[in-house]
Amino acid sequence: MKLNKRAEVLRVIDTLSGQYLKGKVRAIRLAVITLLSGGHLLIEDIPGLGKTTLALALARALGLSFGRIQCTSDLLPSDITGLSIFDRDENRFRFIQGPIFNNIVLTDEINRAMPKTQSAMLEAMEERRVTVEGSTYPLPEPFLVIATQNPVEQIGTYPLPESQLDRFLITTGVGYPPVEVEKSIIQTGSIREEIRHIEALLSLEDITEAKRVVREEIYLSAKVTDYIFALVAATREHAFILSGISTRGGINLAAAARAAAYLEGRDYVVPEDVQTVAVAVGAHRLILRPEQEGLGKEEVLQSIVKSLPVPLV
Amino acid sequence: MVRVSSLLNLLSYAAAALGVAPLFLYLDLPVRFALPLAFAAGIFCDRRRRYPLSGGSATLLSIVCFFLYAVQISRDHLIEPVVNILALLLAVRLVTEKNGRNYLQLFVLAVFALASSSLLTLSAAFFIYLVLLVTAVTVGLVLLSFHAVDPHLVFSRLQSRRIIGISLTLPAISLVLMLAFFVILPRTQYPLWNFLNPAATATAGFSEEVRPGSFAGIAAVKEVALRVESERLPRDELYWRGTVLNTPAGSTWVRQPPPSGEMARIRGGRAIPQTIYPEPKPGNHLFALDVPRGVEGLRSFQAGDYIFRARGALDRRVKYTAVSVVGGEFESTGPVDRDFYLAVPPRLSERVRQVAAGIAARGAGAGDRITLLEAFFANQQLEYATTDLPASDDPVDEFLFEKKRGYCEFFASSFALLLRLSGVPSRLVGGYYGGEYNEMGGYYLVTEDTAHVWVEALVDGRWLRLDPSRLARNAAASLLAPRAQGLNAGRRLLDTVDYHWNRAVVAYDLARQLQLLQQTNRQLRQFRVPFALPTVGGYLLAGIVGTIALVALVRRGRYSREERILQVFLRGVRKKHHLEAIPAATGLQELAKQLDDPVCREFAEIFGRGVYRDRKLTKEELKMLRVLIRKLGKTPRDRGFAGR
Repeated sequence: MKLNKRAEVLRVIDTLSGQYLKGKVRAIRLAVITLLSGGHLLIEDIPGLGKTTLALALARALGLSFGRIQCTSDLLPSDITGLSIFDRDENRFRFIQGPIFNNIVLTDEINRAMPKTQSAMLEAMEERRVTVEGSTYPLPEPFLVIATQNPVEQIGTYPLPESQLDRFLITTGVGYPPVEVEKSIIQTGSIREEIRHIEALLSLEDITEAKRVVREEIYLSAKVTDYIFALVAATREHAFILSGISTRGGINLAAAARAAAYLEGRDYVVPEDVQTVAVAVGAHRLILRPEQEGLGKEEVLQSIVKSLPVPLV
Repeated sequence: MVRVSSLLNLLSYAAAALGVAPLFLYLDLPVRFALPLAFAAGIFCDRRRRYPLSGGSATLLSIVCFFLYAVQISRDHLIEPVVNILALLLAVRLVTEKNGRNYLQLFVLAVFALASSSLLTLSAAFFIYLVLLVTAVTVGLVLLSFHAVDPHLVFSRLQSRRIIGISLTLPAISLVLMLAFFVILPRTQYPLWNFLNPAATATAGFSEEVRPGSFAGIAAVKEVALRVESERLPRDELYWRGTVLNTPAGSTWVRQPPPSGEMARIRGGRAIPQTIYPEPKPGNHLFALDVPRGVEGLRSFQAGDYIFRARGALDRRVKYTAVSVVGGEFESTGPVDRDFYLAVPPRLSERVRQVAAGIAARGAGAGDRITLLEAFFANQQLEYATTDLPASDDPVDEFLFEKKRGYCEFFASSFALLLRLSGVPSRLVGGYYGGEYNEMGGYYLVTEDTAHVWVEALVDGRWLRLDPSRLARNAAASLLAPRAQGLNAGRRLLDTVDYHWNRAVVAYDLARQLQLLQQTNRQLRQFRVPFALPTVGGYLLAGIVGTIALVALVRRGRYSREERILQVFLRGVRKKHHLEAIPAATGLQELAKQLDDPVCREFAEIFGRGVYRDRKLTKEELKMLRVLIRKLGKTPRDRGFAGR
């Protein structure tokens, strides 16, 4: 059994986590899983932990084009999608592509943008094309949005509603690096400069091929499907949860589990793959009951996963 | 969910009930009342978990109960007080709070109670009680070991079922052993204590003398007197002859040895062979259908009036055979001492003498006089009754002319007396009349309440059986009907069981069993196969084997090969890594990772490749998995269950 391009993908993860982004292997893996399953990533963490660095490094290592949007309250939809300007030479309107026309789009502080802008952005993420003034422009393939938001600072923000959050395949934090790593980072300073010199380890074709393998060659058995469904159903019936994981959440869970299995080198999904991605894929989709809001969504989902029997046979 | 304490409560009540039940009838009345109350109070207290009786006061109460009966203990009166003490201690334990020690005491007391019941009575029911009690106590002790660790333990339904199932194997195995020992070990035929000290109970039913007027009333007891295996007989013939009372002494008839030289023979008629099982009781009369020609199977002696008595007391279970003649002639062959059979007590009322004189004057022969006397009895409108009886010094006079009611003793003794007065030699015969045929066992069950007395009169050198009780105006309703009633269906069934128990178990005799075996062997050799037995046997065998195979297949079919091999693997993993249980939410890969066990990892790989690809495992894969499982057993454990 040979999984095409797996070695190359793993090399990206190894290189990034070993040389540049030390101690962030989980976030990198989740990012790669997101990419391979064709979803988008939301990184929720306080500023200064390397969210942007992560996105930048990933774009470099993957050899993909990179665009960046810094969200503010006065950011307009056209600032993202681009706009038509009149070309006097040719005497017609010419469409100038916005930053979204890149393979990897880093949307910093997405909760600072106005709802109108947010929804334009999310629409593009879902549809994978942009319609401006009657013309539809397809977005490049692969297309990965890495959005970040600061969960602590709430003044002057427009928090993403759960329905919008549902469009992100995976939500994750970055977390503080391990003590030793952090010390060396403090000593040597930011690695933004080094990142510029990361060489592309994968070609566009490699990524497309890897995505195809994940989609077509990783087998999702009926048992694991049942398990995913049981997990989704359990979130809907849980006493603490007002609204559980949606059907889209289930689809995403399956896709992410496929990608996780691919990274593990298996051409079939085992329940452990689902368990690996369950919290990252599912937690942000839950709406807890008002009286239980003090609890973390991750913890609630983790407890459900821990209590759900795994199909062994 | 089942609490271990509630299971234990249930078992201790069951054990207590089983221990006390066979004793119950032997207990004193207050104790009989106290026991059900204790049961009710105990259950009530257990429900509310509040116990009015503290440990100290319970001990005090136990000591009081103990002394209450301990002072009654004497050499002649030993078992009853002990039994009552046991029952009272049990009652006290039932109402106190139940902790481990108290449960244990309850079980021990129940076992003692049941054991002591074997001193008083011995019946087939004891075996059932024993089996149930052993089962309850064994399961109880197993649960008690759980209770000792944590009294608030709660079992899931599956757990409790499993625990009880496993603990049931203990009594099951011991029962098999019991049955094995049963064949070899000697056993008693008597209730242990009652045998040593014969019960001083009043003899209801058959007695050795007839004393009309000694009781104001008699109560009928439906206790088994004897069981007689024989063919079915007409009801009118069911006279079971036991003794002849030939001498009136005052108002009491007793037996004197018949005059020497008296001889009789039985001619003609139909011979009826019987096998008779008398219930153990004092006395040595051997009963048989009227008139018995001979008795065998027991050392006995025969009197000239065809009365048979055993040489020893019949206080244990015995059996004997007898051949009786129905419809024959009971002919006196030797010289008959007429004076002996005409003797009357000196004190007789004038009225009685007048009646006798009238009959003697009118009737020429013995036959005529009997007819006349029967007519007189019928004319007197006598009533058969067991209450409000004549009880004066002269019961015959009072019976015939005043009260005109009485039971068989009055009828028979009056009749015999009048016969003697009118010159017809006569005597009383004591025995039983009636009996119910048990179809299931093929035997007559004769109960004590059918004890009867009738008359034999010498007519032309032949002894004739006369039953004056039949001359009562209500004979059909009072004398015949109750004797036709017998036992109800339930008791009849129980009696059949008891009968077979006595035959097969109590009267069990290894030598006889071997004899029976040899006999069976002989019969088998002579046995001709009526049809193709080998073929039928073959089909039968094939059917049994097929059923077993089918059951095994269905059982296997319930689990797929994958499930079975997984079970074996998980058992091996649990054993190797000393895990109590593997969480249901842990997959195989995760398990391997946590245990850091390469064998587990390999198993998970191969197993998952099949299972999570929705296909059956191939033969090679199964083989590899089996190899891995074997390896699992061999490789030493290197690390614990990390992170757990």
